[in-house]
Amino acid sequence: MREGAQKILPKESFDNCNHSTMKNEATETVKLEIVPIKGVKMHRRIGSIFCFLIGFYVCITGYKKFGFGNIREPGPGFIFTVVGLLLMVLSLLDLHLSFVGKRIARRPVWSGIKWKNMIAVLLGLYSYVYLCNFVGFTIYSFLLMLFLFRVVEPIKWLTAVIIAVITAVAAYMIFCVWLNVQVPKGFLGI
Amino acid sequence: MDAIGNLFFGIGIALEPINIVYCFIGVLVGTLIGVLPGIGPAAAVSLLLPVTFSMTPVSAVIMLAGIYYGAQYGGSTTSILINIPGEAASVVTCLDGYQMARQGRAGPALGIAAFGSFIGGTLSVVGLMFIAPPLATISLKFGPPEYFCLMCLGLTLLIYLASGSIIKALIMACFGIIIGCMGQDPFSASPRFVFGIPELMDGIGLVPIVMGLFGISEVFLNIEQGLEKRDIFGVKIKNLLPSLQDWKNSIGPILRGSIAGFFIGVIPGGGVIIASFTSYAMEKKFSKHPERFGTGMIEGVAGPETANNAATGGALVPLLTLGIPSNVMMALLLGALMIHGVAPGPLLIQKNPEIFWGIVASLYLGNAMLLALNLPLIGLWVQVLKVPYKILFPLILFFCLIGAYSVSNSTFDIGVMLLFGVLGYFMRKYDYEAGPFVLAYVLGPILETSLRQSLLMSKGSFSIFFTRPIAGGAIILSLFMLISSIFPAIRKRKRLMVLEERIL
Repeated sequence: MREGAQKILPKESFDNCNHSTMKNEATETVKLEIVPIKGVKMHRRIGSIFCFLIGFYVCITGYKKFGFGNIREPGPGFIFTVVGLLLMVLSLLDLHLSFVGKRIARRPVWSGIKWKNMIAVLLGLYSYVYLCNFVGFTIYSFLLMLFLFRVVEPIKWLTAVIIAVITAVAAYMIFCVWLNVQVPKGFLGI
Repeated sequence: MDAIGNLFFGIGIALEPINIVYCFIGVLVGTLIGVLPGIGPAAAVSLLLPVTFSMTPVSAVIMLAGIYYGAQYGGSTTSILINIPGEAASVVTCLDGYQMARQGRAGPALGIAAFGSFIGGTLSVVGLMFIAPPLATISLKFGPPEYFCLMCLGLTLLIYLASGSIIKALIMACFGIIIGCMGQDPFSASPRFVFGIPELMDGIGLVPIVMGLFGISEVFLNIEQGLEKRDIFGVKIKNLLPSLQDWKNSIGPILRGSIAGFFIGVIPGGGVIIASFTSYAMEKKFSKHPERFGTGMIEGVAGPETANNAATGGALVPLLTLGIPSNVMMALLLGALMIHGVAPGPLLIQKNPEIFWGIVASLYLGNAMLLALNLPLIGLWVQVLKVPYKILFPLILFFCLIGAYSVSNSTFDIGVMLLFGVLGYFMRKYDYEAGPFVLAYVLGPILETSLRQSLLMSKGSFSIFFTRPIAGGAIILSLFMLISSIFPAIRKRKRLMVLEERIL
């Protein structure tokens, strides 16, 4: 069994919430980080509560705002009322199971996350909405690629510039020339 | 003999130069996607969906289908060489394939995987050719109650066979239906959940959703803790042709994998992953030495690789004859056909025979191309594997961006894609699966329409779903699947499959 595989551990393993090592039958040492049960269950409960609230909103909106109709002639809100109700029931069931379910050791969900990487990538992609009309598709493609090559695990500047140029030119040829996609031109007209 | 005659008609369409080119592009891209871990066929189809807008429907499906079965070929390469499945259905190939590579038998492993995939893919096309037309004739008798019940069955099976929690899969299916039904009401045209945004009047598009869920979120998962280095098993690959003994050991698994894979692919909710796992379990059961599985048994490569390719042909049966996608990939193909104005279903073979038979013939052609591509180009795929992910992921993101924008030249779709990218990331962290969501999203509007039509027909009586034999059978089977999932024995068997899938 490799690290990260789920395994049901006895209750004693959780008492101190320490890291522990185990040996499996093939004598490979597998390190399992045991997350405090409270933390794991809290995440699951937050998810269940969130789903319940969404289900509640959808159900009420479907019933009151769109119109449930009647069983002979279902209205626009019929499907939303039924599915919203189902979602609420399932969320409550999931919430219930988070209180009574078996303890499972697993890799911590949010440990070691490099949020900076993901936020930077997200902002870089979202900048298309504002920048592309101004600088144009081709120049934007070059700038975006350069940014992505440098932000997470930077590669050498020269390599990044070369690949960014090739990508921008290839994208122009494929999308603008071959596929005739209407892309923003920018102040340079490219 | 009608089928043979129609097949020749389809061959004429598939052999049009432009369709040969698109078939080649599809299988090449599919193999590349299968080779590269970190991006799956669903993401690839999502990325290339906008590219197909300028094509005819038959060319578009030929290319997209090529990506699907091409990925099954490519996935075995990384499983065997670096013990990382290129895509999910190749997980079991890691168990014996990598061990064969360690014993200096990477060549026969890769060779038997390619030949098995070809045989499985070809036999499944034969099945598609003979089963689909009579099934389409029967399905002409289907009305709204039958469609509603069959779609419930499809959703139930997918949820039942989902790798994680059934409750969470059902929750995702509910969200999929809600998102799918947003926009204008099909009966009264009144807006529903549009929040005053004009772009939402037609609902949320499939392309930005799948790009976000499968493309963007996958990249986030791969970069969240920095990028890993990959070590490729450093052996010179030689002797790609399996020996006579290898063939003797593999022929049984290949034939069994073909049959099992095809029928599992036909069942709504089944798919390539289930097919490959089932084949592996079956070969272990049939083997005289089951204890040797996991140590480099060629049967453990031949069977699953055949089954996953056979399942791709089987999955096309319910899609093209009933208009019901049996898995997420088929849901994407359904979306692609609908975008092109073609409604798959019982009338497809009658109204658009060139689409159906063109696709069937292209599957033969595509399988032959894949066999020719995969064996000589294995060296090239090994080099491709060495491309660092820090160069690959910006390209993936860039194509996602352009793809989402090109759907309707709207930056709104980019926002939707990024939103679903973030949602998809959180979904995966909390073990909520995207598969049931996407399938329910595609089926949701059809489900709603057929439900409302059925209730109008029956004047509000739900007995219409039980008194009609096909509808009744499907509903009873769905209820049985949902209820039986609570029994311990079945839960335990499922948990074994979940553990198998998670051992990576």
